Amino acid sequence: MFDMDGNVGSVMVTTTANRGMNAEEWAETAVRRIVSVSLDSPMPIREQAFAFRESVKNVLIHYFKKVARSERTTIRAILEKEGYSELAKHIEDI
Amino acid sequence: MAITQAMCTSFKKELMEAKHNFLNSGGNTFKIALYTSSATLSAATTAYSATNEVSGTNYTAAGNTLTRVDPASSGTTAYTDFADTTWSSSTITARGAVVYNDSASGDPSVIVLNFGSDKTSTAGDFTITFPTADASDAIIRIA
Repeated sequence: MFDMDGNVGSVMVTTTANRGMNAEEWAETAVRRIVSVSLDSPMPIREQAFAFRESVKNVLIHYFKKVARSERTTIRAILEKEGYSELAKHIEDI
Repeated sequence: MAITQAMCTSFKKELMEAKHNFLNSGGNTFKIALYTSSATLSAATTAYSATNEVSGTNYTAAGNTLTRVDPASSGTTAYTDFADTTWSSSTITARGAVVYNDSASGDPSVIVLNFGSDKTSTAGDFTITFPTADASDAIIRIA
């Protein structure tokens, strides 16, 4: 006889109010998929894994912020080209 | 009225009937629908239903289409995964979700998810992040 055991993992739900998710929130969701830490692993290994996860998260935050800034720069350039200079300035200032 | 996280029993049977294909290329279309706390969902859920499905700004009935990730295995466990999904600029309150096969006749359900509490987005993002795709964490695992 062969037994099959089906399991369902736990999802993380992130919500925001009156804004989109920021770099820190996207980094947290990304790092959870990149680095998983087993609760059964020995403490020194777990601590090392958590430190690595934090390091990866900080790198992601850094570059996600750069992406957001680049997006605004691109949007500003498009708006200025179309003659919306005032609106373009507001976008850049966000 | 309760939402109990589970792999649907009907899905286990349907696996033996070759009803579901999770391959990234050429696989079935899987969707995720959100539900309010009034819904009754469990391992006994057999298919997508609009009863007690959430409604709100930028949420379309039947939910979002998921991006499949090729099934893999590690040790004696097989698993599959989906890319994270977001309802942008949405106003939604949901307590759980059902992943189902939109390609198969009758929209058979795969898994039921319980978020633990009501989750609300207000003119913002509602994002579901699936767990790491490995033998001990992946969203769908068969050992």
